[in-house]
Amino acid sequence: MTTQALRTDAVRRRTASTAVRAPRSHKLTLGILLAPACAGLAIFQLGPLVYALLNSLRQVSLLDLTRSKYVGLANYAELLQDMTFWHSMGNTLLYVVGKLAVQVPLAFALAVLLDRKLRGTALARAALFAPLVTSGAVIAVIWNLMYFPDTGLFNAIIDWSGLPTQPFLTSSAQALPAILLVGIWEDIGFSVLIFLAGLQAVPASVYEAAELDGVRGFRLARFVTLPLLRRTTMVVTFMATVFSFRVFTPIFVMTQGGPDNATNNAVYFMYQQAFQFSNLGYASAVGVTVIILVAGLLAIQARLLRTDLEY
Amino acid sequence: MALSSAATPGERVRRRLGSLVLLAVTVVFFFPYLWMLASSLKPTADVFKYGFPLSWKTFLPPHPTLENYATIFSEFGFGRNLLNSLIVVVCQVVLTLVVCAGAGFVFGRFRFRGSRVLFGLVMVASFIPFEVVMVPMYVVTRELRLTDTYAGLFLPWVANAIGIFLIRQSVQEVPRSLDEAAAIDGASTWRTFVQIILPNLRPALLTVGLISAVAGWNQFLWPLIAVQDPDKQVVQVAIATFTDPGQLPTWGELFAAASVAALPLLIIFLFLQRYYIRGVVTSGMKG
Repeated sequence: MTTQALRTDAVRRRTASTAVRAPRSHKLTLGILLAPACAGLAIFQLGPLVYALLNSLRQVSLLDLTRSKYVGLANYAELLQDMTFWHSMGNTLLYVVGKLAVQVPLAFALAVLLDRKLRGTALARAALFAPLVTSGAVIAVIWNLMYFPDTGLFNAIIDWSGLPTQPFLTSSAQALPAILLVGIWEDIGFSVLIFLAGLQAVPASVYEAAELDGVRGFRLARFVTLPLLRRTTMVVTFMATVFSFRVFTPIFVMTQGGPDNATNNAVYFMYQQAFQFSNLGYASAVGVTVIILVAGLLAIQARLLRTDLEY
Repeated sequence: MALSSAATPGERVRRRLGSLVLLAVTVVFFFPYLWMLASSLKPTADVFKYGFPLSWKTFLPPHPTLENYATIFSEFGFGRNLLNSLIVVVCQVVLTLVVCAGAGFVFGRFRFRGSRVLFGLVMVASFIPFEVVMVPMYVVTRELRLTDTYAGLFLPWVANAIGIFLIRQSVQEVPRSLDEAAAIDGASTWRTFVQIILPNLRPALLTVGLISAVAGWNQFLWPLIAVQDPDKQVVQVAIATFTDPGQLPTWGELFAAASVAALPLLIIFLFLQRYYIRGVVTSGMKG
């Protein structure tokens, strides 16, 4: 039991013994303070979640909600045969894998570097975190032009170094990696932040002991810091995974899912089904599938990164 | 870490290399902003003229002009979008603070029948990714006749589960003796909340306010869905759909609009980093 809970308990016992019943006005005040939050969450978060679950079992058009029909698992059965859906899920998973493989190790390295308080730390921190407060739309607009075929900034740099220019977003082979790069640039700062918070929680005595043993540099990071940060690493991979499933803005602004569905992903597919084809039930089935998939991935990660280590 | 005053030569070299890497990181992450600003100050003809091949004129405007900024306000009605975003953000922040402070106070101070279940539901809500429930959320909003209204843009977010959580945490840090003393003096629950608890929540309120402001200003997918009327549209969607489809965008103007959409938050962030980052780290939420 935490001290906080103990204290709460003591207070409760004391009030109970003096047997003062809370006045009605007290209950009314609490109710008034709590009601807006409960109403908001029920109407705009939990309600829609339940509604999505129910809708995924129905055939219902966004244009006319009254004409709906219970179809059981038919939406899910149809999804299994929908090649575009498989394609978009494949892209989503590729994106997740690419993101985890690049962003997590890179963020760890950057956090270790920033934690050492070298010259330039403050500026680098500000630079890394700037995309966290920049909208996805602005980021997509900037990167869109940097990727421009023939005359974009990246091609100017490539041309300057003497290599052949690249098609980037207009090539079905390069479009997804290009979108992935934007995503990593956009929220690696977030992973770095969490790693930094984790690093600052490691007691200095651990490093002092390691230094006495002559462990430093890369080996220090690999064999001392990293194992101590397993729980932090888990949070970082969780967050990176969830964000990867949520990617929408760069795809909407830069590629519209193309070329040839090369950048279509789960959320973009769902958006199309709901708002272009008015296929509410089908879109809900995609949403539910995504929830299940994310939950499954997080469970696997939790198992892989499970730790009993404490410091 | 190793804070030995006399650094070995090897350590010094490593530190210098580390600083070099940090410099490279700074360049990579600030560069797109610099390029955006530079391009927004160029006449449209210059954006590509000096973009390729590479030269210093790619990164600095050789003939700086504010013409693009003037055009987006006079011809594209960008001022309207800006005003819409401002109204939405102000309403969203104020209401979020009111709603979350109230709920955070109740959850942080009182136990009653069902309070744990209720708080559990708040936590469940904080884990629902918006994208997954966006379609039913849109249906609810439409049935409430809130599409194409400001309220439709901010109301869904004011009951912010993460905000409630953050405020509850800091309510628990306020010493209980304070409100017990107030109660003995005969203060009502309401008065205790307003006069004793609220003043102690300032840092938490600032954090929640900042998170809500950044999220509100930057939201894209929700206004894209919930607003059809171009006059009601917010800044972020406006820049993404800036030019008529099928027509080549005028890049200088696009970048001017993007700069206007991005810079206010970047400037606020530079000054209030600490509060924003605390919220992001403790809540695992991104703007």
